[in-house]
Amino acid sequence: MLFWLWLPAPFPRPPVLASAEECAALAEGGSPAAKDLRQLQECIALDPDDVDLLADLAAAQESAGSPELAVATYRRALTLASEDGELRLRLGRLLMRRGEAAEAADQAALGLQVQPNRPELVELLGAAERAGGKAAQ
Amino acid sequence: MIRYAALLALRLVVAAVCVLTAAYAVLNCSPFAFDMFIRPQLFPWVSQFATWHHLWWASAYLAGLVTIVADLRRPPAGAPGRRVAAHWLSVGYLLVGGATSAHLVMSPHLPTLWNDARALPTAVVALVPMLWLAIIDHLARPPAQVPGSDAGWSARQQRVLVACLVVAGYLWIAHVARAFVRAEPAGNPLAWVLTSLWTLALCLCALTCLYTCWCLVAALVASGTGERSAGRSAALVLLAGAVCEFLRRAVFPTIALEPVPAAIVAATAGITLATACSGLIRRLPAAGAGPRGAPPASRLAWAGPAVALLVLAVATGYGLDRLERLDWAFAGQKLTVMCEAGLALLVVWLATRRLPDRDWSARALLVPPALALLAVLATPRLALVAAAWTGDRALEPAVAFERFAAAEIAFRFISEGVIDRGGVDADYTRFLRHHASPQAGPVVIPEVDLAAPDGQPGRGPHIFLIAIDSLRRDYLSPYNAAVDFTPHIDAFSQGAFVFRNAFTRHGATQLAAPSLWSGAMVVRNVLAPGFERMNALEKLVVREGYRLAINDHTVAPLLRPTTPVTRIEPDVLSADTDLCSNLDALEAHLESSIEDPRPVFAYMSPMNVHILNTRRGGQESLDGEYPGFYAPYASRVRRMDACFGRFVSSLKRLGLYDRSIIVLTSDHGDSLGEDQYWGHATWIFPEVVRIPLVIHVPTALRSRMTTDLARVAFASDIAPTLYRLLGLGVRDNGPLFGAPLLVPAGEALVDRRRASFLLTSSYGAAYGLLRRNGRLLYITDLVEWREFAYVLPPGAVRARAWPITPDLRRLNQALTRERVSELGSFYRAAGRDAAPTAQARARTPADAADERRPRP
Repeated sequence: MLFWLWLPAPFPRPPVLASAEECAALAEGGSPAAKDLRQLQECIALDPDDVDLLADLAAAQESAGSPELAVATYRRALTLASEDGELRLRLGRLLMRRGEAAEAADQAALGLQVQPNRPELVELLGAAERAGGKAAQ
Repeated sequence: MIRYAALLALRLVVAAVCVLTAAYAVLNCSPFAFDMFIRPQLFPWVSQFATWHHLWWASAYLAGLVTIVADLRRPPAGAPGRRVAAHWLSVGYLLVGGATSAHLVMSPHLPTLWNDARALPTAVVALVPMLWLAIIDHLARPPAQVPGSDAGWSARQQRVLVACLVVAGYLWIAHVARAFVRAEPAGNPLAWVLTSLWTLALCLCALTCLYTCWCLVAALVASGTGERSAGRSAALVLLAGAVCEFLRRAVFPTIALEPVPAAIVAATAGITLATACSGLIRRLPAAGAGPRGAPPASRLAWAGPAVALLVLAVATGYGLDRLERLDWAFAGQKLTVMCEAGLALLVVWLATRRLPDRDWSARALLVPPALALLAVLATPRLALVAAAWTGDRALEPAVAFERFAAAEIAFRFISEGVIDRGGVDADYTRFLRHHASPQAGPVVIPEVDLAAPDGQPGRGPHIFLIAIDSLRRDYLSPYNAAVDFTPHIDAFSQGAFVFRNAFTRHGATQLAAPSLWSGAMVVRNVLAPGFERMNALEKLVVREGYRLAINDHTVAPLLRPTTPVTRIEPDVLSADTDLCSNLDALEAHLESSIEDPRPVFAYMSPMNVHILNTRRGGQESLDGEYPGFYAPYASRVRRMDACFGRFVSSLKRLGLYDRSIIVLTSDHGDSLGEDQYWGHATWIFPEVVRIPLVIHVPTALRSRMTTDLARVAFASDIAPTLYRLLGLGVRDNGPLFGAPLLVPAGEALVDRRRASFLLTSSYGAAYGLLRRNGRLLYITDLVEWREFAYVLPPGAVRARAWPITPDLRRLNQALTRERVSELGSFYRAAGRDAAPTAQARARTPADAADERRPRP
C-alpha cells in the first residue's frame, strides 16, 4: 500500500468486438439512407440499443422499399429514445404515406412536445388532421 | 522522558509551521489551486495564516532553537568531530534562522506570494528548518547511543514479517467491517465472500511487498555500512519513498501541480520527514528500550496493543466519515488511511518487541509475498468460475470486486496501488497531460464576436440569468418526478422551455462560468485580463444597452471598467452568496429603478448548494428528512425554490414577467456520495456534467420560436440563445462555440445528433467525451488514472455505468485526442497574430496584495 507495484491486471478482458469501431464510424457520419443495409444490421446486432443505427436502418429500409420494416424499426428506436422529435417526424411522414393518419397525427403531436413550433411537425399534424386523423393527446 | 516529550512538542510546532508554509506555497504553484483557494480566499483561516506568517515563522524558529540549546554550547576539547559539527550547525541555525525571521518580520513574504516563479522555491525552502534540525540531531548523537541499535537487521526479519501480516489482517478486518456497513446490502452473498477474499489478498500483497522492500533495502544498507541500524535505515528509506510517492501520485495531481515541481516538492518533503523522524529517534532517551528477546510476561501484554488497534480503527472510521464530504479528490482520506497503516505498524512493532530474534531466512523472505501474489492472481479466476457455475454475472470480478473499492476508500487506495488497471496508455496520457500543461504554449485569448455583422441593436426584454452553483437537475421536479420539494420551479417550468439533455462543458466553476459568459468551450488561464475580448454576454449587455446587475465572484472581476454594472451584495464572500438575499436585493434594485427605460440584465451565481455549504453545520438538513435524497442539499433546494417563487411573483406584480427572459440553470452539478464521491473538484461524472436548463421567454416570442428540447444542449449555448432571442444573427464560430437553442420557426437548429463533444474538468486532468446526442459519456481521468463509460438516457434520472471494451476505449481515446487538439490549437494558435493579452504582464507583490483585499 505504501508504494506502487505495477502488476498486470488480473481482470479478464471482455471479448474484442472486431467491427465496433467501424460501427461507431458508421453511426456517426454519412447520409442515413445511403448506408449499407446489411452492414447496419450487423452493427445493430452488436449493439441493439443504438438509436442512431436504428434510425439509419429505418431510413435505409425506407429507401429500399420496405416501409413495414422501416415503421417497425422506427418504433423500436422510439422505445429507446421516446423524446426524439426527428424520429417522430420521419415515422409520422411514413405513416401518412401509408394512410395511417391518426397515428401520424399522434406522432406529430408527440414530436411537437419536444420540438414546439417546428414547421415540419406542424405541417404534418395539419395534414394528418385534414386526412381525418386526430391526435390522441 | 519529560524532557523528550517537551522536545517532541517543540519540534511538532516547527514541523507544523514548516509544512503549512510549504503547503501554502504549493497551492500557489498550481494555477488552478491558486485560482480556486488562494485568490478567492476560500478559507479565511488560510489567508489569516499567510497574513501573520512572519510571527508564526519566528515562533517556530524560537521553538527549534530551544531544542538545540545543549548543542549551542561549545563542546569540550577532544570531542568527536560530529559533535563539533553539530555545534557549528546549531550556531548556524541560530544566526541564519534569526536573520531570516527578522527579515520576515520586517518584510513578510507569504502575503506577497503569488502564482509565479517564487512559489516553488518557497515550498522547498520552507522545509529547510526541519531538515537542518534533523541533521543536528543526527550529528549530536551517534547511532551507538540510540536504544535498540545494537541488533542487526537480519535478526529482525521475522518480527517485521509478523508486524506486516498482523497489520494486513488489521486493515482488512477494520475496513471490511466498514464496507459492510456502507455498501448496498443487496446482492449475491457469494459476491461478498469473493470480494472479501479479494480485499484480503490485496492487503496481504501490499504489506508483504512492503516487507520484501524493507528486507532488500536493509540488506543493501548493511552491505555498505554494516549491520548496525540497517533495519531502521531501511524503514526510513521506505518512509521517505512512501511520502514522496503519496504526494506525487495521490495529492499533487488533485491540485493539477505540474509533474516537475510535484516531483521536487514530493522528494524534498519525503526526505525531510524521514530525516526528521530519524533525528527524533536519535534523541530518544536511553531508558526507553524494554527487554527484548524474552517471552511475553503474560497474555495481558497483548491487550494494550489490541485496544490501541481497536481505538485506531474507530478513530480512523470516524475521521474518514468526517472527511468524506469535505475532501478534495480523496486526498485527505487516503492520507488518513496511510497514517492509519503507519500507526498500526508502529503499534504492532512495539507489541512484538518481546519476540525472540531468529536467523535470517530466505524462505521467510520469498514465501509470504509469493503466496500473497498467488492469492491476487487466483481470486479473480475463482470469481470467474463461480460466475460461470452459478450463471450470475454479478460474481464476475470486474463487477463484484468494485463493490468494496467503491464503498471503502482503503480498498480503493490499496487496489490503485497494487493493480495496474491498464487502458490509459502512456502516449495518450502524455498527450492529454501536455495539453493540460503550460508547456503546450501560452494561451492567447482571441477576439470573438458572436453577433453577425447584420444584427442591429434594439431594446430587448429584461434578462435574468440565474446559474446556481452546483445545482443538480435531479433535485428539481421538472427533471425528476420523485421530487416534491420544488413546487415553484415546477410551476415556472410549465410555461417555459425545459431542456432535458443539458450539460456543462466544464466540471467546476472556474471554467464553467467563463464558458457560460463567452458561449464557448474554454481552456485554463482564459479567466485572466483579456477575457473581455471573448466575453459574449458582456458584449451583449453593452451593445443592447442593458444595465447589468450582478452577483458573481468568477467573471465579474474581469468586466470592462466601462460596462455599466450594479453589484448585488458585493460585500458577501463567494462561499456565503445566497439566492434568497440575492433575489431580495435584486428586487429592491428593480423597484428603485423602475422608471429607468433601459432593460436589466441580471446574473446571479449563488452558492447555497455548493459542497462548502451542504457540509456545514454537521451536514444537517434545514428542515427534516428527504427520503431518497441527500437532505442537507434537498432542504436548501427547497428554500431556494420558495425564494425563486417569490421572485417570480414579484416580477409578475411589477409587470415584468412577460417582458423578461428568465434562465434557470447551474454552472455544473455535484456528486453527492455516488461511489463515495462528494463535490465536483477534479472529476466529470454524469451527475457533475448534467445540468438543469429552463428558459422562460415572453409569450409573444415563445409562439415564434422553435427548439428541440431533447437535443444535447450546453451551458455555452445560453449566450448565443440570448443573442438569437434578441433578434441578432449568430455567427458560426465553429464547434467549440455554442449555438442558439431557440430559433425562429422555420430556421434550422445546428445538427448535433452525431457529433462528439469534449468536456473538461476545471482543476484536474480529467476529460469527457459526450457522444450520440448526449447518451454516451466516456471519461479519461488522469487524476485517478482510470477510465469510465456511462450511458445517460435523456429521460432517466440516473446514468448507468457501461463496460469498457478495447474498441470502445480505442474509439473514444481517438476522438478525445481530436477534440483536445482542436481546443488546444484554437486557443494556442488562433490568437498568435493577435496582440498578447494583459495576462502576460508581470504581477508585482503590490498587485498581489491589492487583489487579495475583499472586492467591493
